[in-house]
Amino acid sequence: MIYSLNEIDAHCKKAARGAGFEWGYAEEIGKAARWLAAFDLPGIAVLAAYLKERDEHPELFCRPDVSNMAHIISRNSGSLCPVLTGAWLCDSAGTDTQASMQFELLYYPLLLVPFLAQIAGSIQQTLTFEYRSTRLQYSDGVLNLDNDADLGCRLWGGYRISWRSSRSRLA
Amino acid sequence: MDTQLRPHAGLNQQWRQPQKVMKLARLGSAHQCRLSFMRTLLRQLKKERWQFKRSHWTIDQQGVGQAVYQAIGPVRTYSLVVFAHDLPDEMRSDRVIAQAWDATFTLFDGVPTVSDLARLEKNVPLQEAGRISSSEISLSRANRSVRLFSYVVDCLAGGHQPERSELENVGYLMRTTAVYGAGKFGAADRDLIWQREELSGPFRAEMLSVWLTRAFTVDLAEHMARVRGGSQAVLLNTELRRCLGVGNSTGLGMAPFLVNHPTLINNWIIAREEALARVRNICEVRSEKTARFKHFLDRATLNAEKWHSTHPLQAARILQLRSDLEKLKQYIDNFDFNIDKPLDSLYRWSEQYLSLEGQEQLAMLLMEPYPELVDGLTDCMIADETKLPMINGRMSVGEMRELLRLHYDWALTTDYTRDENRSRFWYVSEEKLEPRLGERFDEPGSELEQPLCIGWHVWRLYQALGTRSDSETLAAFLMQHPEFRHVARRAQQIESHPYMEIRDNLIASDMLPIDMLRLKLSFFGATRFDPRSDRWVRINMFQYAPFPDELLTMPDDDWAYPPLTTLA
Repeated sequence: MIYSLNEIDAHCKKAARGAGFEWGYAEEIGKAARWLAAFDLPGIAVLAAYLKERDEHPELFCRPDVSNMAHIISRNSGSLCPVLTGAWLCDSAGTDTQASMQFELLYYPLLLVPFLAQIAGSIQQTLTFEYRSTRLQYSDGVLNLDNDADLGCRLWGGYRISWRSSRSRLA
Repeated sequence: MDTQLRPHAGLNQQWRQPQKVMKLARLGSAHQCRLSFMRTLLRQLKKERWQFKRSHWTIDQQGVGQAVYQAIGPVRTYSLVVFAHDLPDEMRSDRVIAQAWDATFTLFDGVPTVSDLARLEKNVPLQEAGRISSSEISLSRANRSVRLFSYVVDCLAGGHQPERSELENVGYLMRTTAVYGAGKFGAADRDLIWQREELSGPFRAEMLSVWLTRAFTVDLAEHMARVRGGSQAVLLNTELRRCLGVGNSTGLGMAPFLVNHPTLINNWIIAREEALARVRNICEVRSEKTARFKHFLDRATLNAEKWHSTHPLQAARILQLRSDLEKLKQYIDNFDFNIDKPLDSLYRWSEQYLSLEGQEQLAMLLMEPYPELVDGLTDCMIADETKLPMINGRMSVGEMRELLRLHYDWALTTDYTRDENRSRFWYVSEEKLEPRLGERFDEPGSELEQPLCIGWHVWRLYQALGTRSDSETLAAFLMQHPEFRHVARRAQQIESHPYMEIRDNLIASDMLPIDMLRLKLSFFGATRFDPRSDRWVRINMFQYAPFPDELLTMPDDDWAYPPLTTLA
């Protein structure tokens, strides 16, 4: 069945709420799924895996310790939750957004991308996000993807995020 | 804390202020105006000289079959695809839980092929239980007003015209019970169509669908009359035909929309308030404008006389409106339009002497003679809601508290520890996924409450912020209290969107959901509000409007009040 973006947004928001997220996060998850679907990225499958694993092992998904915005690590011994991390980065976007950022271990990195894209829009910068063999660039509503083999990976470490001025549009 | 008060960045001091406009009692007295979406649609179709044709008709002697109505614009064509059914009387229900209807509809993007019609025939009659695609823009259904439909068919079959009063009393041959758009059940997302000029306005496609549906209802009655009366049958006289609109039956499903689309609602209200401010600011009113205003006042008076409701609250309001309009007419008979800003003076007088129904009716009437000042504002009534606004987490807790004090005093001064101030809860029904209103202290399920009680959420956020240091960032607070993310995000929008909140308690024991429905329906352009309880309302849409075959020859946008000739 083919779903409209509006349905994806509504269903994913509902799924997130059902999985125990507060309304604000659930809204963000719905919009993130919608954004990924609009670019034909496998956001729903990754979201489903994420919600299931988080439901079974909530202790694995940690919120970020953000004392150093250039190097984002988890507050506990677990790994970073993409939604809590993405939402925090959005909340802090602006003067604190570093030109380049590194991440410790983070689950389901694809789910972080819509949050980063929203920041890119708000600070009018081009986003580059690299993990494993995946390299994503996003600017002015245009997404370039170099390699999608690892797009839906579960857990990875050593992410690199960089921002640069959007004045030169992506090729 | 010593944070300086900030002026409302998005607020024009010449508009009526949000604390006055956004109260439920006033919103529940709203009337259609030049900015209403039905009127905007017909103005545009006429200006662009759209053509209309019934390109397909396979309705049989039982009234069962298909029809297609094409609306052909300068760039694109849209087609209303109709499936007419033979519905036994006992299955006819206006409730959203119904599973069969007299007719079902979809607005198709383009001209449907035979295979499109075959696909749609398998899905559109099922409504919520079927699936449509991005080639379809809306999905709807309608039931006959059985008595009037039979009466009209009988008259036409017998070779004579029905009585005007009979047509006007009911007002429609069919009433729609739901018109879905914006990606529902697989339909085209609004993102796909909103940049098309002809569909950029809010609910433009849905209004087009309803207007074409109205043409179908009359065609069907004439068809059935021909089946019955043969060569003796006559067509419905075009003036009588215009007395028929399309009915609509609307329940709580519409209410959450007003809370869930704050930017859009803000933009609708601002457009209306700006229009009103513009006409109130006119220093000199020319005599032809005065005459035009008086003409519309007479027609509004006639409209009030023809408006009936058996609901005790609305019945009393209609009586009050009639008395208000009488009072207004007497006042105007001796009113000097040559003073400075006469329309402003008139409006101020109404605030002193008329009920809310009367005040709102006058406010909308003042705009009628001024298309040149009002109509262009329709372009400001849209909003891109595909992205969530970002939370400014760098704001301090102290600043957030100040913002709430400044803009949400109506919520902060409500005592939510009292049962009567949170006695209801909004939820979504399991069987139909429809919004419902429950009694918190008598019914189970409040743990599944929808976050529509903005006042209560704001109140709780304010209490929670009170325990924190003023200098802490909102981001840090929300990391520990994610239960406030949605309401913090929302509250931060209010400085630039001063009319986004209904400034009343939406879970109070005495809250009337019909007031929320009327706000939205009046922006659609609906008339003859007839609440059937405190939770659902019947209305009329497009009554007195031109039909597709006469749109180009009828006067511009002159139909929203009944014509005075019907006095005769």
